Amino acid sequence: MSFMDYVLPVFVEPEINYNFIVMVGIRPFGEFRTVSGAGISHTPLSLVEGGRNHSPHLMAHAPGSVSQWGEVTLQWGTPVWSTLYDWADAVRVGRHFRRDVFVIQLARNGLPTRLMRFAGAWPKAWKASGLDTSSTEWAAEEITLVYEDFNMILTRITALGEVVDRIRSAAEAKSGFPLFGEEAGARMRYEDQEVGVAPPDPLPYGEIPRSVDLIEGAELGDPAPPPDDPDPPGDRGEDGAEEATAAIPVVEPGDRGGEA
Amino acid sequence: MALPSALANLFSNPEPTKASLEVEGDATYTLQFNPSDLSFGRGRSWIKGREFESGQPSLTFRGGEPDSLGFEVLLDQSEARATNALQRKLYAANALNPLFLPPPLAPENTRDVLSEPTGLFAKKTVADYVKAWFKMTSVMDVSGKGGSVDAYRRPPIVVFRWGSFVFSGAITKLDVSITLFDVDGEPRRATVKVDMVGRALADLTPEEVIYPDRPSASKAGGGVKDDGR
Repeated sequence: MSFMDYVLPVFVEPEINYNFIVMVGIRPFGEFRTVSGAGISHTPLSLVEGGRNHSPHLMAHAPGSVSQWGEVTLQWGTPVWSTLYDWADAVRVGRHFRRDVFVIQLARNGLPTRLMRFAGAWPKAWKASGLDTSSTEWAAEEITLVYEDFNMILTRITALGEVVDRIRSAAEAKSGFPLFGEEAGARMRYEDQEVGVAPPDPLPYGEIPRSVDLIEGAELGDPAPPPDDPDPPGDRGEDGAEEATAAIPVVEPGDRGGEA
Repeated sequence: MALPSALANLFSNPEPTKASLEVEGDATYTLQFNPSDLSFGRGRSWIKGREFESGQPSLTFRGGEPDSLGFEVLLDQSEARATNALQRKLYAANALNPLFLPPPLAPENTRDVLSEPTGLFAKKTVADYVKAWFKMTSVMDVSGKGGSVDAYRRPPIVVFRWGSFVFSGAITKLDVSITLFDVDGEPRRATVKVDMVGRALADLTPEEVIYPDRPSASKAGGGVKDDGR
């Protein structure tokens, strides 16, 4: 593995698109079926310059045009509340009908991976759900929003967790021992209490005993020396702790037969 | 309130610098919305002579015409808009309001809702704004002494500023279209098409605009910041 493999989450799975939360203001707005249309479009100015025959100049902001945010269409499948209609009905002269709409896209683990903010949004259109006795679909209301500003934040919490996992596993592979979690804690307790009992040979990652109790023959406070220990705990000198530490076999990653 | 306004300030695009009108004998007014475009021009008059040998006419300069400026502005009170820091905070907080009150409980559209303590002309309604525009074309005593001397009775000189663009002159034509009325008949939106004559790209005093060749005007110095002649 190269350094870049540890640092950059290159191979991140594509995010799912069916897990999201819609909030209008600070209010979660229930189960939306679809959110579509977010985007931005620019109108280029095409300038043909004499002698420049391979291509026109394409400059931003053609005369009379500015960047345009797309219209967002929300389909709502929970017409228990009349909130969408209330909002559309609130668009009247002199009323405060603009709201900030937040769409939070969630990853597989439920953590937010993308936050979109539609600022100053208000409903351009509201459409009631069609009714059809032969249909088996949701009765979905539809509302189309226009907005004046847009921000998108990629939180990428899952990717960050993957980076941490890679760094952790790389460090543990280098040391040969677990450095984080319960396994590392168990090892540290052994060393602090000068148990003098070496844990068994490091096992391939994932097969390490998960607690002290699972190590056969080990009891905290009154440990029994291993049968082949040449230096029992009672006979130790001042440097007994160092000896105990030194007794722990350090295995190079290459020696981990189970993983190699 | 601090969090919504902080979010709005952090993530929103900044508001553009507003164009302003400095009216002689009155205040400096800031436009609610900048024009989408400005068109200005300059005309010069040359008289053709006759040159028989070359076949090309001679040209004699016969003076110029005043520069012209045209633009269109929108006056809008169809909704409450923030014109100062406090209102921006209030509206940013309101953008997170989860409730949409039904009409019987909602505050109806009153002049108080739309009043703007600062901003466009410091007036309340679109009608007041239109009156302010027409006031810029009204004949007034620019001497401020209340006399009836014709030399001092004229519409005020107006200096239009927007960024580095300056136009000093007078309004020659106003075309107003009211495009939105409230239920009580109050106009809530209007477009004002403005035509001006004067001097483009020059920040001049009224005397310099009216009498450009007067020695006192050309010597003024302090009043002439950028002479585009």
